[in-house]
Amino acid sequence: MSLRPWFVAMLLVVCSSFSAHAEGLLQPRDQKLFQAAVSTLARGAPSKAIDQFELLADHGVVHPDISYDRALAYIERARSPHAQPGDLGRAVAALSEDLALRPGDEPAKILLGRVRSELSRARSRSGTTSLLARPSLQRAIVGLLPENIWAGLALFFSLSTTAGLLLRLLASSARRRFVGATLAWLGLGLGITFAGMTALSARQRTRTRDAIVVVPAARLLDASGAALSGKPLQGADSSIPEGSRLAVLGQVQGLYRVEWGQVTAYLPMTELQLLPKR
Amino acid sequence: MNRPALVARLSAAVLTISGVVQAQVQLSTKAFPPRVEVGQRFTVQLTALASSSTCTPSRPRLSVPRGVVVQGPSVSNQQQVSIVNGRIDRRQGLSATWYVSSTVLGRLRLGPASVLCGGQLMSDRPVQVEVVAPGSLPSPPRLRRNSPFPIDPFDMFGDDDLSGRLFGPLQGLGTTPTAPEPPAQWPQELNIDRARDPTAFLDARAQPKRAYVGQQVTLQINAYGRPAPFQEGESVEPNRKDFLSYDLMDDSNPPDEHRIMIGDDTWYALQVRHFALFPLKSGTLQIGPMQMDFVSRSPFQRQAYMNVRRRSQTIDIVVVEPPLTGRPPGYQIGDVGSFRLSAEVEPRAINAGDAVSVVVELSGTGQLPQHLAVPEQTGVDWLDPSVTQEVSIDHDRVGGKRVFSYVVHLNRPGSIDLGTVQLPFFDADRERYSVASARLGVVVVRPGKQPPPDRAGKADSLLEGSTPRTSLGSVPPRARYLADRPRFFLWLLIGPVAVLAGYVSIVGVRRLGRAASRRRQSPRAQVNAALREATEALNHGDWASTASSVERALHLSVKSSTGVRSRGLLRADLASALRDTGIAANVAEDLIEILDACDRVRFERTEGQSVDSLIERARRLVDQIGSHKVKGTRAS
Repeated sequence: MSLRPWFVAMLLVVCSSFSAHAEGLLQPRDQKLFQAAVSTLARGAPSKAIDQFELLADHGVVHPDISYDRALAYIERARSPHAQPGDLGRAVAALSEDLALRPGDEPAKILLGRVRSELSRARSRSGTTSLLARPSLQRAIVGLLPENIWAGLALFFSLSTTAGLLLRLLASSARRRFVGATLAWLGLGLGITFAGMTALSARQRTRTRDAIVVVPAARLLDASGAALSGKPLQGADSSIPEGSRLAVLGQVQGLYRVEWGQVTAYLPMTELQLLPKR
Repeated sequence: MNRPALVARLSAAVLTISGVVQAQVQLSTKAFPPRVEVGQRFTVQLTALASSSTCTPSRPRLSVPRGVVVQGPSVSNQQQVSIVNGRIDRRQGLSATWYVSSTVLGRLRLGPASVLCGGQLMSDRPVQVEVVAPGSLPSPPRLRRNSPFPIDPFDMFGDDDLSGRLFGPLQGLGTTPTAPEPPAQWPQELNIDRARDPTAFLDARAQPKRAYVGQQVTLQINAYGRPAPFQEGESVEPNRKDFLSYDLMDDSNPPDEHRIMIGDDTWYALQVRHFALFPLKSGTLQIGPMQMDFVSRSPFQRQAYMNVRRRSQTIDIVVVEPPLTGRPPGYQIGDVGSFRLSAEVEPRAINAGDAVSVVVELSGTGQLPQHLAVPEQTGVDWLDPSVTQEVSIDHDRVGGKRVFSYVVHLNRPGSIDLGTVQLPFFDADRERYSVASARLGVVVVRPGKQPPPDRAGKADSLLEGSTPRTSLGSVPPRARYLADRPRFFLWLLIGPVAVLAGYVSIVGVRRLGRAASRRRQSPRAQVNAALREATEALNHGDWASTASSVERALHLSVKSSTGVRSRGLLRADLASALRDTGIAANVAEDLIEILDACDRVRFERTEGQSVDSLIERARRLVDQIGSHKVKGTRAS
């Protein structure tokens, strides 16, 4: 019991040192800009605050709290007479960036849910139909578990294969040898499966980037920049709603190659905001 | 009420309504210039503005007399906002421009121009334009000859610019096209080092070739023809989709064709396109080629440019974004140029809830930004501005001014400092950022009768409980992934593979051991061991043991090679037994001789030197007997 206050005190010291470290990461120029942006936002001038937050991003400053404040600025402007098309989409992008950098940020999760609901309501009010996004089978299966869980399962079954082989080769009784052979074969099959899942998950993580649509409706294009139509869309409208999250596979001549559900198409780079890598 | 009276009252009512609408629609028609030559183009512009609550003007029309050619109209929307004592009067409408030319002389009466508004036709007053004979008006200065006469009497048929216009169809009659007189001077922008084609060619040039996003790139395309004066036939415009494009050529005053020298040859040169291009994005942007058919101006020299179609070069422009260093907050990519801001605010004292007018004028050179960032603050609501603009071209540089008229509601009593309107831009000439600014000053807001509208409640539902974070918290370390570890997938294999490899290696070692043991127990190994023992015994001077070892080696060799157990046979039988197995007679004799010698050494104690030779002879004999076995094996 006597250790508890000590523990809390040490925790506070560690947390404050982390905070100080985070502040210390900013150069004096960026620190000043951040403070100016926050005070501008508090003064009720979201457009100017957005400019300042975006300039911080241009300086390469990436921090979840800055992303959160930027999201607030965009939401505030979206509710003001100076709303710009795509403001709420940019707010979603900023909050997603915050959560990518700090996955446990509960206020950001709550705010993101509210903004997404607001966008859904706006779409319902306008009666727009958008392309339904069902993830591809591969992405759906790989997304069932986090990558490290796949990797852990692969390791576990690798070990079970090892144990089964040892039992099969070293045991003297026929029963133990049978158990060992079964374990080895089972471990081999599942180990290969889970290693494959790990590889696919790692490939998705390293070779694709998540991005958010920051325009009211992003219209899918083909590689030449013409509007996509016909079979790939399966009869759906070719526009992706604001705030949607999709996977960017690559880029070519000012266009991002994206995977939206089961459709692979192209979008202008200006209509998406990339999220930091996980 | 009788019928005539009813008709009269209805007519009066209609006229009254019509008059009210007419009074609320402002019409204005202007013609420019008011005096033109026959065939010269001029413009007629109608502006129609109506109160937003009345109607929206549409369908502009212009009636003209015979002999007048009309193109258009080109229609743009117009807005006008005026504030008198805090009361806002907003009008909207259109501006229609017609391009007109006349083939008849005299005072023309154009119009009336009209619009439809609320289902009624609204007409303005007609305008008048005086059309005079060609050459009656002062002509623009010419670049070539400094002749005081408008028509050169020595060049009536025309290769001269001016007379060529008047007598265009007769051009080429008075001179020999193949040997024209060398020109004295011509515009420098038509100069070119060498001809790219012996007959005709197009030359495109852009300046600068490396630009910032939003910086003006000037594109000029010149046409050059050698055989005769020419004009533009069918043409395909250059592709410039990555640029915002302004045409720098004056349609009312098209450029003249000039004679120029390229090397030692005289050519006809004409500027056919002149654009100000503003790159819209970064990267290597391409200006596509222009295609043009060359057509002779003279009907007598049609053959000179028969089927002559030429293309200009494709030009690559490297476009980059302005540097990040020194970039001010609020800078928008594309705002490149040199700009100034000025602002007027009136009135300076109002009641809370009323509005002031803020007129901000942005002027300068470059592509004028479409939007201005206004200084927002709580209690100050800026409505969307109405924008008017004038584009001007000064020495091939696009510029002008854009006026943003804002209505600003002030809801909070007190002295409100409206702040400063700022426009950060990049000055490409000086390679640095600047900020144009205009201070708006203070407005005194007296307490109003009505409470200011509460706009904050609207945002609460979304931002409820969300406040800006004023300090930066800790950032959790980035997630680490097992698959990112080097050789992760190798580690998955290492356990099973290690077990299998261990098992295989153990089995292998065991098999190798057994093979070695078998090798140790082989007859050949025993023979060699016996010979080694013989040598060791000889070294110790133990001749008897030496002889015994040699004898044992020979018997082992015979047994392993032939299967004959020589130790159990008499020497006399041994030779025949060996011959039966195919051993050569001399080998069998040598064997018996060595065995006899060994007996002698053992029992008669012969000298050591002969024992030494005995070992060598036994070794050779063993090899011979061994080779017999090998041969026998191969034969079998």
